[in-house]
Amino acid sequence: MSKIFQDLKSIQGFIGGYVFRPTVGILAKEMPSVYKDNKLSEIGDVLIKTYKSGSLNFPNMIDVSICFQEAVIIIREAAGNTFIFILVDPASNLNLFNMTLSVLMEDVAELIPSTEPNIPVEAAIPEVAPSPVDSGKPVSGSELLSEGPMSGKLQEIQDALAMVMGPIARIIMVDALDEWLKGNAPSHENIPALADILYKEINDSGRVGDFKKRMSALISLTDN
Amino acid sequence: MSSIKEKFSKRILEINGVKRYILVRDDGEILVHNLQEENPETISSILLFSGLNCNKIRSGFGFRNLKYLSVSKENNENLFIFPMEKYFLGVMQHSNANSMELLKDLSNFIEGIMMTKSNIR
Repeated sequence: MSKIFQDLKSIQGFIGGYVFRPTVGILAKEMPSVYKDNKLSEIGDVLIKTYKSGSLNFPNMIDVSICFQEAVIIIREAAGNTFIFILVDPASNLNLFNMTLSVLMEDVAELIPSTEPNIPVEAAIPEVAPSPVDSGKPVSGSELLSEGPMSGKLQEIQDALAMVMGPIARIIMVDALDEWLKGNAPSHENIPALADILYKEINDSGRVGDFKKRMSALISLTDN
Repeated sequence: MSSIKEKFSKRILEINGVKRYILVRDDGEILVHNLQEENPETISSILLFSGLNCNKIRSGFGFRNLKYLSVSKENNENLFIFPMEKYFLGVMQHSNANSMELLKDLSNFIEGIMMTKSNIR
């Protein structure tokens, strides 16, 4: 068992938890056996989206807690796009869990370099995929959007997305870029693959049609 | 005579610790708010997006009802999101408020609202 969960498990009301990095998977866990890794990864992606909907709008955010009847889920981001999720009893001392998590954040961050070399090759590729246009080596969708040679074009795509999806466009864009980077080098040639991911994220035929028109103009400009 | 929205506003602002609030229907319509610095459209998007994601999380873990979502901030102006059937209520607390006390008071407030939910439709 990871040291992180040894400490947390000693607090009354701890149900389980796991450390998750979207491009790699689960780095450490102490969860009831009923929850399989693929299910936890699926839920992890949604938990991160929920977290980012807050962090993108509130730069001073510390964490997100979601309270259900059965458990409270606390979501925290450690360094390097790595997250820890813990499930605790709603009647437990949440302040104690929050304080303990604050102390443990450095331990969570330490999991990143020690775990990544051991991950399966197919999972490791997206994290370090080299880019022909990427001298600054941005690795996350958020970084790619805000810096580097593709930033301008990606901002244009985000603006087009905002025209059909409103203020939530940035959240969708960052998620789509993270997904895109899993299987594609961040280059202008691969923008159609990014468009396909965005169409799926929008998931509304009318809005997809509108966005496709805007994207086709942007892609043709890229071609020229 | 004050409108239902005015009554809602008056009642929620009477709760100790409430700084800002916004009530949004699940189709995105903002019913009432007192946001000032914050963009209501952005905050309503956060409420809706978080609410929809919480449904996925709930079913993923096999849980029952969502009670609330809270966003903790360094300045202690935490944001709470409560589901109210087809509505979401967002509340930002004053920086000097006690979150636990506020959560309890808001839960009681919502419980009262849900008992007379037809009044806000």
